[in-house]
Amino acid sequence: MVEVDLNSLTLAIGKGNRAEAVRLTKQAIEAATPPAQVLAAMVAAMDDVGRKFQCNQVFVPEMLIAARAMRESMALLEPLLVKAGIKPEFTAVIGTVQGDLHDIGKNLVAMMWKGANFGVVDLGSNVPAEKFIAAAREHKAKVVGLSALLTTTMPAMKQTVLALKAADLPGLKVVIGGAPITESFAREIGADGFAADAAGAVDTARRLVAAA
Amino acid sequence: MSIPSLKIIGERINPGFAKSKAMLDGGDISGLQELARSQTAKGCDYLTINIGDRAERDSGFLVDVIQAVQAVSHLPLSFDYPNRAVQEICLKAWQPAKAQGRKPIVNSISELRWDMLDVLKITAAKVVLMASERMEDGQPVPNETPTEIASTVHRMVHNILSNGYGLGPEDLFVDVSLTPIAMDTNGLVRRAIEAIRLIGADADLRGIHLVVGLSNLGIMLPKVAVDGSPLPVKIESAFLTLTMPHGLDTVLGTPGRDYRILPPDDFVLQGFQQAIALEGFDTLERVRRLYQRDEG
Repeated sequence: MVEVDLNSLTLAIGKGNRAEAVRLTKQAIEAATPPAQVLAAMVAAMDDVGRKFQCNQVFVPEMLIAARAMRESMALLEPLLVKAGIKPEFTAVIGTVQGDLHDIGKNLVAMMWKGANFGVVDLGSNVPAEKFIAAAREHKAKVVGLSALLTTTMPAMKQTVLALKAADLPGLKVVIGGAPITESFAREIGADGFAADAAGAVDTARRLVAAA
Repeated sequence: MSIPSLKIIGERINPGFAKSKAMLDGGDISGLQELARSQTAKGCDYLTINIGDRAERDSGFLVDVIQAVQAVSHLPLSFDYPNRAVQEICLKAWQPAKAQGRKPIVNSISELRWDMLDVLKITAAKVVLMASERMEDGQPVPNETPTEIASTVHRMVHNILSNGYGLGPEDLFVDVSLTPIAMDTNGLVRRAIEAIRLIGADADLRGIHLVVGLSNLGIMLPKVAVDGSPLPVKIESAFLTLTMPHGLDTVLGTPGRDYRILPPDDFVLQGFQQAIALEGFDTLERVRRLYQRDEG
């Protein structure tokens, strides 16, 4: 019974049907389903959406709509997760680098990271390197995500990566992305990872943390 | 089928397009020349030059590209760099005679980099003014409302026309910034349309051009709408249909693309209008119904 409901929850979130997702989450909570199992069903939904996105079976609107269903279901589950001592997989800090006011791509990645059950600290846009360092330290982040849309702010991205690497933040991984950013640029400036899209940013962050 | 009064800045020489990126990465000058030739043949008005961040490291290659493009096209170029040093290289490499004296475009200047206007001392040029951001008390601030966008434009145009840069209104292209409708939960597309209406109605701004990067609008969506029509270009056309009557006259786009003014009963135009009138995720739900039938 419980198992079937969780499959339905995964499906409802995947389809972005938030009314159904919220109803099933409430049902699972009332049936005293272990919160970790409910959480796993939600994360499975977003993983599936990410995979379908990468092979053009779903598009950005569906991905965002699914993320909203996840968020609303998660809001119900969160108090139980806290009570059970279940924490996000790890914390990730994200922002657009200094001089760059664009935040659309960054927001999309933040949404997918939340959907993957990372704790996300979103610093917004036009973020100086010191602020990334301070936030990574304060929140004991395992990943920092840097976004840039302009070729003119790519040097700021490089400086931020250098500053993060020079700071005493053992094990911290830096992932970069944005329209002008390439894998080779990531290598060149010493970032740990590159993500071509929001779904890829989930895989990259997980892979880097797992390998750390 | 095309829209005769619409001016197109051909966008293809830009690493944002996979084929162009491969040419740029491989230093394929003759491929880039072919891109210039084909866009010129398809009737665009300017050609964008954007070779990505290599422009900042390899000025020799940038100059080679400009000279190679000018060797095969008489069109004025639009240098797509919000960066003074790169613009200087572009404008020094520019040969006015090859474009029969027509001016190239510096894309772009904003209040965040106002001193870049100095590059106009190198050669006469038109400029794109970015209206998505402004300077306030020495700090960069993103413009959030149509009124903020329009008043930034008003101020920039006034400052340029009254300060002896040698530019007339016809030399100014105002870019209000267009974001993808596929992720527009904040009403940014509606805001752009409203800003265009305000700017178009501002008597002090008569004679300036209004431009958008149109291809941004329909990205991240499937190719075909529920009615079988090509979705991205129909969405772009819907935007033109709603904004050209208010003064939009130029796009950064792909020449030869099937841009048109859509009839009021067009399936995509109607869906687009409904989508931008909605708020938050309702906009996305409406966009989704342009390409996905509701499950029964």
